[in-house]
Amino acid sequence: MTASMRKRIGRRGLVARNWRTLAGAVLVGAVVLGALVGPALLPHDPLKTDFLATLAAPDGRFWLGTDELGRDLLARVATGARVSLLVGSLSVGLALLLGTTIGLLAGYGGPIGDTLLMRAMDVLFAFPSILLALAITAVLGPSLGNVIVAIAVVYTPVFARLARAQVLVVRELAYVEAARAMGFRHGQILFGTILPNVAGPLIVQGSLLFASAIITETYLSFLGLGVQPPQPSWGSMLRDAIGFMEIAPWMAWYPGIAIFVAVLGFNLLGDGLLDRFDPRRA
Amino acid sequence: MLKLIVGRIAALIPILLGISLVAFFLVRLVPGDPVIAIAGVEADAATIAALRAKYGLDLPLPAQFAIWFGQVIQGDLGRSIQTGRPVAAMLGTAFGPTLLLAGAALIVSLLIAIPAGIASATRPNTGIDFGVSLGALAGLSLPSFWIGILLILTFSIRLPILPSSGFVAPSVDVAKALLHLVLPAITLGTALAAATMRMTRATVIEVLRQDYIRTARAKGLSRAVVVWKHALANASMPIVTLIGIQMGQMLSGVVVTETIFSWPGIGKLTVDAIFARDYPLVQGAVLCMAVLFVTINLVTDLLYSVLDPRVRLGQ
Amino acid sequence: MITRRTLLSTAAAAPAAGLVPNMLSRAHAQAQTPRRGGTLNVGVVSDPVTLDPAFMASFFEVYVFGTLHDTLLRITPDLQIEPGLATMTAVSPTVMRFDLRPNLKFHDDTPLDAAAVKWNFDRIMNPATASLRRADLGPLTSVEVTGPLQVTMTLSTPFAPFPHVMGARAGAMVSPTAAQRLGADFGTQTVGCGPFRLVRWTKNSELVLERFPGYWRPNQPLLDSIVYRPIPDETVRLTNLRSGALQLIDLVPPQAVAGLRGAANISLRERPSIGWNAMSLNVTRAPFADVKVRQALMYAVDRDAINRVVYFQTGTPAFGPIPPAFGWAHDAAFKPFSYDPARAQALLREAGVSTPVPFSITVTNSPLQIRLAQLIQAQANQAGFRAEIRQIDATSLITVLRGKDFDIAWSPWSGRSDPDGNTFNMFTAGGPTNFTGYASEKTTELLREARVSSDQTRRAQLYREVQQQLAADAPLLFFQFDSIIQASSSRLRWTQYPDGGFALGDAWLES
Repeated sequence: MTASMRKRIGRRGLVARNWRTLAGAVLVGAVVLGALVGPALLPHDPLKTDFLATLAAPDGRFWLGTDELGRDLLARVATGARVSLLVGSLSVGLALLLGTTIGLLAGYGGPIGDTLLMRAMDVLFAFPSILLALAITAVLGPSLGNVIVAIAVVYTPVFARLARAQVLVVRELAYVEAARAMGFRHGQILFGTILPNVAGPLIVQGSLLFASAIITETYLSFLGLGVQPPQPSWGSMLRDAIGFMEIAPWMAWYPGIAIFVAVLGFNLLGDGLLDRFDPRRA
Repeated sequence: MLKLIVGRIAALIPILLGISLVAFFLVRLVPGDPVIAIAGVEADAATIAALRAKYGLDLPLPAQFAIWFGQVIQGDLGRSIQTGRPVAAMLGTAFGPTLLLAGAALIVSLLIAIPAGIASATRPNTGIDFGVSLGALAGLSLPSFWIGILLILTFSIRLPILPSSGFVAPSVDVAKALLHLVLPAITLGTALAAATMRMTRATVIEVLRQDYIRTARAKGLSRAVVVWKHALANASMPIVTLIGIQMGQMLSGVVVTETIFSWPGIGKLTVDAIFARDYPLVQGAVLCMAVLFVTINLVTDLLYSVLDPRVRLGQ
Repeated sequence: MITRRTLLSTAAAAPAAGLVPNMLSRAHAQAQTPRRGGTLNVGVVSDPVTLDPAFMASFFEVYVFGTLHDTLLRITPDLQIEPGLATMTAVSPTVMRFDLRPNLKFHDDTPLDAAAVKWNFDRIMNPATASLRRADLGPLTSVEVTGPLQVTMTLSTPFAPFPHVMGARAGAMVSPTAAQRLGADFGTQTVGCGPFRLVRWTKNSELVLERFPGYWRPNQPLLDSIVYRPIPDETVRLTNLRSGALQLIDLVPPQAVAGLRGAANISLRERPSIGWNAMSLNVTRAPFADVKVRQALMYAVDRDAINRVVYFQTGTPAFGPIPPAFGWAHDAAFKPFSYDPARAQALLREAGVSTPVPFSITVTNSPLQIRLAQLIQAQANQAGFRAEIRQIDATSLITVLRGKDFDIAWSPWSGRSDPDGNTFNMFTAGGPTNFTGYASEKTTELLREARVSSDQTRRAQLYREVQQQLAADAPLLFFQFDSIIQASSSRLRWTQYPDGGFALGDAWLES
């Protein structure tokens, strides 16, 4: 990351003008809209059981069919979008906050703090991420909040490494030297001068991790470690579907499609943003 | 070079110690007691206490860690609480299936990624390029456990032509082993293919811009020879690096794929061990995976410095 | 963990249409002479944890228990006691003499004689062994060798279920020579005396047994070998049975039963199980410390709906701990509760609690239990409660139950072949598996009497009274008696047991 690239970001703005960004924005927008207004507009309550309409195939009454307790799958998919978006934004936000702070301190502070902090990050990074998230959720107990914390811990080293690398580049640059010469305090230099100049790549990384966070949450919920029933999550809906693959395959289709659309949306968005930073990618 | 390797290995020691500590304490923080679980509902307090003593779980935590770590240094990973088997033997048995799955997935991913990446790179901004890019992103966006479910639904239930679970060792029956491998390898390979495809496209585009490629084209070499021989050879380094990085990341994919397909590898073993609070097994498995992960990273770095003289000089 | 019901289960009613061809072919087959030879591939839910009966605690060991091991006495599929390795004679109500068959051998060809039997009991009764069987033996105080092939056991009090204990895990004999030689590896390389012996066991992959030629029963075993394959996913097990890769599977999911009835070449087998399914109510704290609130929950839940939605009309709704499998003790007319949300609300008003009454439903994260919890939640919320679901993993469940850290919790019982095993430890005050905190003098007294009585009619009467008392005090919400649902290739002839176990000494494959 160079100063010239930084200028480029400033000039073009963070929203890239290419098809990927646009397509991503459309998909993400659809998911957000579905999450916001879906549950209110749809005819069925996502929690309402109907024991006389269990495992109903999609039809005029239940557009995506019902699950094994007779609940409307469309309403549950829409409500599941809220869970995914909540987990994505809060876990990545928390990881961004923690990781960037650690990375800035490591990059800007002395060599001892740097070594300690970054070795700790290396330790976290060396765990297969899914196992670490799984173990942390198991420790904290299954709940949406704990899934968010677990995913945030797993992603913190990614941001810490990235932030530190950026700081190492930026801190020797003229304007940081200037700030130091002008007698600014460390805090002001770190958060006032350095942070704004390393924010771009962190945000791009964040949007890509948003997509992985959604997948991780669905996997944890799939294993029964996420949001608690009867609240729907796309992952727990897929778990419920497994036992009914033969007699009610629609239960496995729609939550999966929802995950795919949401994750593709964030990947496209992140990818489009990444193009603004990587000159090699046309 | 030797100095570099020794230095890098020395730097790994504190990381591995840290991983051991984290694994040790994390799994003990999970609520639920492995001894109560294996003793079953009917066991009385005396039996439970005797079992706890048998596994050394009645000692203070620091002592337990010291004993365990002391054994690990001597190459003894202890015995699984749940099965009573030596942890090292369980990991050894699980390693083969994981290696087979990872290798097969890598082949699947390269078979998809290299041709698609090159097709897209040689025809930038065409329909093919667009399709490949979108396909790559779609591949990255499909949760592998859902792909696994759909593959099982399609090929094992609707058209029952492929087995959807279990593992047959190639030494026992090659044909059966391959059949069992197909669905898990596709599941894991798809996710890997996406990233490799993107990297192939980007590096081939860059290489094609280089002077020597233009020279080769000017000399009248056919397009195919130029792309497949010259460009791909020169693009191989970043791709190798990426594969190295992926092998590390692949461990997460392995965990998910193995649990979906009941594949008796390291990933399933570890997840089951976490759920069973099989402390020695979790510790051994996590340590083993971490060693694998850092070794792959190290090898990738070294390979990189071998392949790219600038890096070697830089060191 | 506790039982197979952590997973699933089934129906007593004969699936009429689909079974007819199978029944015909079976009748035809019985005319044939049993054929020797062949390999049987068995799809099971999970690997056993251990093969050593002294430490078996998981349900998943029933698959190998009857093949690898044999017991002093035998429990028939109808829960009758027969001689096994030995014949039992009651010298007095507290002294039992066991006479072993001559020339019995373990799989390692060492002799199974009185000394070996005594060694086995000494091993499990030694506290240092930490065997889980010690508690099974109840009031057993000593085992003495009284002849080369005779041991005499002495109890401190009469113990009606003792023959059943000798027909179960505590009555299984293992080779003393092998156990001493193998030490900690004995659990994975167990040497027993059953119809099949261990060849190899690759964890999570396959467990292979072969015919033991020295087995004592005439013309058994018939199969050459048995390969157990752990396949956790129920749909996948079924698919492998259809494709012919497996010839026998356990735990057919109830939702698949209807689809299997017409299937060609597959024989579906259902048999009432000896277990019960219930949620334990924590009677030591609010809100379920109040018997009226407990009663309200009993009326709030529609057991027929549970049977329909969760168990797909397999098995039967339950109201107590004595399932239909115990023909002599089960009371089919016993239905103390109906689904009556209005009555539930009235009871809550009588109790004087403010509604809705909040409580949590603790279940482990299996799909069946989550389905069940959501159904109970929906119904309780209609009847003046406000339920929330708490998912834990199976390993934590016993810890949670022991710590009484729940309002109501999943606590099924896989069952024992005598009603004492289905009641005594759970419902007596302070019993080892009394997770509810229930302490009724009357119930405890009834159960103590039933345990020592030798008159079956009297015992049946006592267990009926126990059920009535349990319904009045409502410490558990009973809801389902499972059926064991298993399926096999229609070429396989085999005997089904009400505990779900596979004892395949008499099983054979038609050519």
